[in-house]
Amino acid sequence: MSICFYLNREQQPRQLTAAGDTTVLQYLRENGLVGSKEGCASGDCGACTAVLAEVTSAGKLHYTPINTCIAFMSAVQHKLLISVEGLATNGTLHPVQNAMVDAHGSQCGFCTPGFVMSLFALYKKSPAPVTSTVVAESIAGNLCRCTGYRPIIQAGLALCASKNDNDFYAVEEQTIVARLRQLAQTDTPPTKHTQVKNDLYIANTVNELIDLKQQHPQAVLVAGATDLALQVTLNEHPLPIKIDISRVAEYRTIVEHDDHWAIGAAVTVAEWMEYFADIFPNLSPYLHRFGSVPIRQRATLGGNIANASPIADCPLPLIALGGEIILSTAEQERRLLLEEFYLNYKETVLAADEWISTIILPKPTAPFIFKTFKVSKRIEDDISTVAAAFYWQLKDDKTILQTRLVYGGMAATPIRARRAEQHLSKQTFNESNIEAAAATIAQELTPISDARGSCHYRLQVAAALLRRAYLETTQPLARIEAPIEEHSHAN
Amino acid sequence: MPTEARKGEALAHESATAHVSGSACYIDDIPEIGGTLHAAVGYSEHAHADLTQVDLSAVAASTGVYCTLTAADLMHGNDIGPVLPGDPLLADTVVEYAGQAIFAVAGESRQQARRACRQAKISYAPKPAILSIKQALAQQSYLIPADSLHRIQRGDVADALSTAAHRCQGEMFIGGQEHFYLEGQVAYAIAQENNGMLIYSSTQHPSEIQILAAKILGVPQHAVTVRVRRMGGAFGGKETQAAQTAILAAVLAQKSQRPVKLRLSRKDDFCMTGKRHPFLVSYDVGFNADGRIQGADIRLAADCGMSADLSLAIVDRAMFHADNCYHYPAVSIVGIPCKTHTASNTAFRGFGGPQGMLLAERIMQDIANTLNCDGLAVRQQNLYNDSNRNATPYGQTIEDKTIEDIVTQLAASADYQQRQQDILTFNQRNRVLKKGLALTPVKFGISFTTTFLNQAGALLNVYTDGTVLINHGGTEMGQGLFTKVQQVVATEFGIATAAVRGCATDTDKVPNTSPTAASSGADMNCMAAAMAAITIKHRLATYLAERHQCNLAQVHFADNQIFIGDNAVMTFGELVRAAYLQRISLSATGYYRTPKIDYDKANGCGRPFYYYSYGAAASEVMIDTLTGEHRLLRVDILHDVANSLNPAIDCGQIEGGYTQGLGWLTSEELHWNEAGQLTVTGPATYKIPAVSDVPADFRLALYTVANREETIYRSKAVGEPPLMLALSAWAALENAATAAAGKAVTLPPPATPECVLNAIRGV
Repeated sequence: MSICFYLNREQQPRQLTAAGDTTVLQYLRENGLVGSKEGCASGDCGACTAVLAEVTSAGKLHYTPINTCIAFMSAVQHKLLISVEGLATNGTLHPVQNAMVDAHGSQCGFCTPGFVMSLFALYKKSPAPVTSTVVAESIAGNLCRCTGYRPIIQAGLALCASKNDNDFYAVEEQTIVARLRQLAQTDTPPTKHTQVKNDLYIANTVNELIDLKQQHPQAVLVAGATDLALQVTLNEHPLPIKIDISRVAEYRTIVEHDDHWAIGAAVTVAEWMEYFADIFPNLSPYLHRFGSVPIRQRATLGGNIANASPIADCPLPLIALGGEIILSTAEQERRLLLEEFYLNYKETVLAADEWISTIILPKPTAPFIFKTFKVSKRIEDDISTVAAAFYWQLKDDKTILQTRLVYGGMAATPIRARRAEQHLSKQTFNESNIEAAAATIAQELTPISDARGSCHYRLQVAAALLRRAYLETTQPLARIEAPIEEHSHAN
Repeated sequence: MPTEARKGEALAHESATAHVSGSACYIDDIPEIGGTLHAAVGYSEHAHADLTQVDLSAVAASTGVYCTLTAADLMHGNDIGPVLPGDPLLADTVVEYAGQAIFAVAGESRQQARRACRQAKISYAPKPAILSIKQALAQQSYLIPADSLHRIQRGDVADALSTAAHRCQGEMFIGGQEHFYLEGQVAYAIAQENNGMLIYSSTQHPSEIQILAAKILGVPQHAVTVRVRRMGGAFGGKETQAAQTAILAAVLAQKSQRPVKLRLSRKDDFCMTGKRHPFLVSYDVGFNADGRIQGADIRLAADCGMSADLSLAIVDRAMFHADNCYHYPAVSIVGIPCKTHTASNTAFRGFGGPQGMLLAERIMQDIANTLNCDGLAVRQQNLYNDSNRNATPYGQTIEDKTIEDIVTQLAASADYQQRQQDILTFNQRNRVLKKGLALTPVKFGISFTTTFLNQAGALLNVYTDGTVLINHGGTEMGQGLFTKVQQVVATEFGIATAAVRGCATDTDKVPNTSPTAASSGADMNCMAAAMAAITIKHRLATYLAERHQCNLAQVHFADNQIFIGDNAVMTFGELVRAAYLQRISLSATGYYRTPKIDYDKANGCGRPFYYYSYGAAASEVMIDTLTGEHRLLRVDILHDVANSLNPAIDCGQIEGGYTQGLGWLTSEELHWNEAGQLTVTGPATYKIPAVSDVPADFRLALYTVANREETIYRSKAVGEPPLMLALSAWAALENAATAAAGKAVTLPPPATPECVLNAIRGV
């Protein structure tokens, strides 16, 4: 099989037959497109940002920023890859680029192409005009060490205020859509005859995945690769055969049932966030602190679960809500509570021939309280020092029927504070009971001390979050990360 | 009449278009010559150990490896210490920090070289390591003998302390800071004919790399050319410490006779290179009931890491800034450069000044807390002002009242008093969230304190189409130096900035240059460029005056024209072509040395600085008392740029400097394990400010009274001073935490959420 995609303004698709561990950034730079920079090789600085355009069901182009340093080449399959070199036309700058120049948005210039591409994605997606909060979110995954960001926000605001999108990609949209559709139709799907040296496979359906997994039992599954790729880019550790499942249609949907939602393992964090924004209003602000826009649009729920990191943010709310997962093999599947998935640090019950296919999220019945919290050194794009998800099933708005208190960063795996939960069993939901439960946290949990925080701090915060969860049910109490306006309203 | 232009215009950065197009070329972007090898470095896992065995056989046998390099291969020398010896290019028999380079490898691809590094078998015999300033002090592990420490003294401090109405004493640890330039250390070395070596290096100091590379390669300095067009950020981290990367590439290129590129991974960059110095500062201060200081006894101990690097000068600058803007009638300051077993700490924007000034602000916080009065009142009480209170501890006189003026203006424009009242009300009403506000001043001495470095050269070529190429010893790291120089040259010739082009800094054009550092880049290089332009203007004007039989003084260059009196007689290009035909040289060098400066280190007095740059900032913060998390709500800044050469660039320096200081003081936390290995090795764990850490409400104004000294167009340096404006955010956080705790608390920086929570909870 091969990877076929379009690059910038080119009229002919590019074809790649041996992708291996090649990242999109490597591909660009080795092909003379050196505008995209490597600043960290871990998806944390955004200097490598490019944009992927793909065709929506409505026949339009949909633009997504991508950290090319941690994306394997399968990410560009049947898409249009736009790098910073694809913006200016015959020496005339794109409006995004003009806005950055006019606002004095570059100093050393090394991060600049990444900012330009993040703003380009914003420009293509957002209705005009936008607020500074929207601009800030779009560049929260881009680090700049020179400017202090204000001019870059200014550039974004000015750009979107005067938006009159007739750039190359707008003018040529239908041609590009037709080309991309044709590419997807004519490109050969993977076959059993594929040579082994092509160690990156793309599965488009569950059946293809099963075939591939049977041929290559040792293959690792990859979707967004936002964590897995670091094995290659940071640890110099070549990956064995990879099967990209990010296009498996069955794993890309959220289906609502009477008493639960079935969420495909390849649903991205961004999609999850958007779908549940109104259902669980607490979830969206929590997930806004997960990675950055490009990371959230690549990272999948299944990946964040399978990765089994003690500070993964996604499993916590799922466990708190009583979530289950379905593990599949070529022959069968089994269903278990998500909290039973984790055994120890980076260790799970997943067998070598199994993969996560679906997440089952039960619908809670009112009245209930559901709270999620994330505490980290930096508000944006940081790993949790402590994260928590709390769920209380109540009767008559005050008696606690069921409690799930789930913490990240407090143990080798996501963990429930069982003793605190027991403390609250059948109790009234009030301050003294919550305080009494909070007091047990330090007796039950033994987090480690590391660069993100000491054991002592983690214990203090874990208890404080329980306290905060209660306070938030009784008074307007804005989170520190909430928009400034919310803070002024609170007073 | 000709109009004055170009200088003082808010022009975009000269590379802005190239930056946004992705066409600005950094060293890793240079098209590679066929046969280019890629290098990687293997380094120590131990903080202090004898090397008992270095077995690279598996490295050499790895796929794609072309050659390896160890200390034994270095025939002409192995020490790249910039000031004093002590920095081996590659460790020989002993390692003195975890991250110290032991060997290098060159391979066909970067990945192959890096993978090969992991195959090394290195045996160590660990030795006791000194991993903290306290340990170093206890063992008197200093870079220099204890009896030759730098001391600054005035008056009878013991008497002043004992007679003062109040006294505060304390000690505070100040954390270091990783530069986190977006472009890591990188160099590309290409052997030339006749033993020559061309090194593209991302460096602030090409001449030093030339000198050190010549030594290690065993060739004369004229055989080595070092070139840098631009850096993707540097901040001091590429002043001395670009040398190791550059010279390893050069030695490997010499050995392999193939071009060699070395680009450190982010992790290797974190582990191998030095950072801003952590300091342990202690103080004993006596003051009166009005908050005015009578005497101060100050000790500044710096964690210099395993070698001297620039540490002695950094400790000096910390001492020169331990007063910030405040008069200490009787004072004693001693600086202690501690040797420890960490990476050799190095220059970082502010160069010790921030740590010294943080101590001064620590003292102000303590006085305000002791007297239970407003921090601004205490600060104003102690500002340098009248003639009895205008001498710094080292005897340089503060000749202006700029800082008083700035503080007064900012307190009014920021509505300081009213907002303190509002915050009091807010804090009374809110149980969980607390706010704080603080206004702090900045005074920063401009000049290298190593006096001989205060010189600069330029080479200016005028071509027959009337365009100008300017080259100087300064390097472009994003600070806008090339733009300012371009504006100065355009101003001198009265031509459009587009007619002036800056080109890569290159040791074969301007020799023996100083590093671009100490905020002096524009002051010195713009002046050198102006001198070169004046030389050529003089030649051109002399020729024209003869031709037109007029007085030389009547010839003016403006608006792309040459004027005799009020009459435009020809364009600049026409004059240049005419002069060329008359065989008049159109190329000139320019040279500048900073006047008036002189310092007697043995006696701790003199005038180390040509002048001072000032500023002040008011920052308002909010903390969450449950988690310690915090947020900056509003910043007001009034900063002294005098006659700005380019207000847009200067604003960028101020906002960016503030933000970098904010990171140092609030979120950037270095963390080592017990073995002395750095455990934060990239942006996943080391958190520099992101976009929302800077508040939307950011009010910056420029203070534009002309420099009293004869700097270029009476402008002022702006590179480093704004970093210290962020001290206001740290003080504001302390104020908020104090409000939450109900008693005075201290936030040893970085004031991370954990630090804030500990302070509130009294841990």
